[in-house]
Parts: sequence; structure tokens; C-alpha cells
Amino acid sequence: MKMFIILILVIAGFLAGYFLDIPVYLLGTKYLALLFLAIIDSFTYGLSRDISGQKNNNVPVIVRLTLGLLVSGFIIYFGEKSQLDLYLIALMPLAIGFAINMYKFLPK
Amino acid sequence: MKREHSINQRHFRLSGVTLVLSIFLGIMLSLPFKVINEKQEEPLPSESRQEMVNRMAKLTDENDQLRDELEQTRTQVSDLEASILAGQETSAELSESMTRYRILAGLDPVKGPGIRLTLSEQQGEVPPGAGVAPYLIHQEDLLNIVNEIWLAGAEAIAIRSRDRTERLIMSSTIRCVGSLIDVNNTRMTPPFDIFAIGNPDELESALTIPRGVLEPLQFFNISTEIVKMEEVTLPPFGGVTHLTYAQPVGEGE
Repeated sequence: MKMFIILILVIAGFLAGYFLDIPVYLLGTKYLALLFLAIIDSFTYGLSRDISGQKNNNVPVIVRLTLGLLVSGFIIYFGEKSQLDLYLIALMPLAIGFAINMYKFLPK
Repeated sequence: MKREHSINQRHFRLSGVTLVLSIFLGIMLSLPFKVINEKQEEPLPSESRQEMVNRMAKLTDENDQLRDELEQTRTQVSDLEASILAGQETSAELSESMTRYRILAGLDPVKGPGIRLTLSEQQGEVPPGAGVAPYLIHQEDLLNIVNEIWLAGAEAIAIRSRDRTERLIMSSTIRCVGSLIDVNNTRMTPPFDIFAIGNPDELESALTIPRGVLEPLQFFNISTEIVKMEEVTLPPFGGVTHLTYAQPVGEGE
């Protein structure tokens, strides 16, 4: 039942994003990918903590999201300014975090 | 294992942040679909590109025709001015000052001693791992050079790229348009020849001074060649200047 709530909220977000005029082009594609990865990483992290019965999940998840965005965003920004290709390195921790979170959902 | 047991439990409590993030996740998932949908509504890229190329070629032809007409009209105006002034007592003085102002405004072709500065990018000399941007000529480079030449006492400047030469006047613009540089709304690509009329020695020394405008370019393998010329001939400004808001100030105002 609770997974249905998640599903409904994802669909609601999808519809809102699709029909509302969200100015996505204000962000560069690199920062958009960073935002997507940070959100999906924090979401799966929060969900895995919820399912495993851990309480007071708001703060750790928000900290993970904020730190992920700040650190990776800074690395991408620094790479752009110094013309070093740090984009993939910046996104790697978020992608690994997401993969680890997904691993927790696998049936043992 | 306690953790494995708990992760598979059916009864758990969803935290607020997970609910909020699920909405954001939905929004992020919608964006690719939105972009794909918008792209499908646009005309096919190949068609639109071909149409744009045709339109661009047509507009360039029209522009060239209009430039020729403008040049003819300006010549007629100059002739008429000369014939009017020929019948007046103060004609010589008036004619001289008018000629000077027309040269300053870039309306007449002009010639005199000066220099030619050639800037060209060196292909294939970017070190591995380095970004290519510093090795290209940018609008800032041209602007810095032009500023330096004006400051060194140049009386007329023009920039040439391939078969197009653009005379710089007070309303001239130099800006990047994608990978090209737009001078007076004319698209230009390297190599650039910058012609300047003035004292050739002073112009050259202003450009070659240590820590001057050319040094950073040379550091990034951009070739800079200065040639002193006994006579440089520059064409008139090819565009149109408007004077709608600026009014002359009368005496005593």
C-alpha cells in the first residue's frame, strides 16, 4: 500500500513536470544530470532507510542530497572554469550511491 | 540477519523527505519526455537546416545587392555635395571639413600609411588534455587589439576575413556568434587581417610592447604577423547608421 503512495506521488510529479512550464533550460545539461542523479540517489537512500525501519530519516537524507549537490556541483563548476573534464568524476559518487541503494532492495 | 529481515518487512513508515523526493523524481523523469515531445513538434532537422541554408544564401545575396546600391547612392550624394559646394565662396573649407567628417564617420574609402596585423589559429597544436578554447581567437582578443590600435593613434581601422572587409566606426560591433565572430553583423572566421591607418611605427610598438595585447595570444600558439605598409586602402562602412534620438545641441543651450 505504501509503495502505491510512492508510485502515485511519482506519477503526480511526472504529470506536474510534463504539463507545467518548468524552465529546465536555465540549467545546463550537466547540472540537470547532477540534479537528477542526486535526487534519485537521495530518494532511494531514504526509501531504503524507511523500509529497513530506521527512524528520523529526514535529516540524513536532506544532508546527503545537499552535500551531493554542493560537492558534485562545485566539482563540475570548477572543471568548467579550469577547463578540466571533471564532469564524470563529479557524478560518479552519486551513481555509486544509487547503485548501493538499489543493491539493498535486492532479495537476500 | 536482522537487517535483511527488516528490509523485506511489509509494514514500514515513509518519511516526509522520501515522499517529497518521489514528487521531484517524477518531475525529473518527465523532462526527457517533454523535450522529446517538443522536438517532434519542430520541423525535421534536416529539412529545417536545408531551409535555413537556402534562406541564408538568399539573404546574403540580397545583402550584397543592397550594399552595392548603398555604395552607389553614397557616391551620388558625395558628387552632389561636391557640386553644391563648388558654387559657394567657402567651398574649399567646407569641402575639406565635410571630407574629414565623412572619413571619421567611415562613410568614405580612405587610404594612408599603416599596418596589417594577421591573426591565425595554428591547427593541430593543442597539447593533449588541454582545452581548445584558449587556442582560438575570440571576440575579446579582437576588441583588445582594436582598442590598443585606436589608443595608439589609428585614424581608421578595418577587419578582413576571406573576401569580406568591415570598416570599424563608432557604432561597430564585434561579438561571438557560436564559433564565428560577427563584425558589423558580418560573420567572419579566422584568419583575420586587421588594417589600421596611422603612424606605422607607433601602431607596431603599441602592439608588440611586452605584456601587450598580442603576448597572451602568442602564448597559445596564435600566429600574429605585423606588416608595416606604405599605403593601406580601407573601404567605407558598408552598413547603415541611424540617428533618431540624438539631436545637436545649439549654442547657449
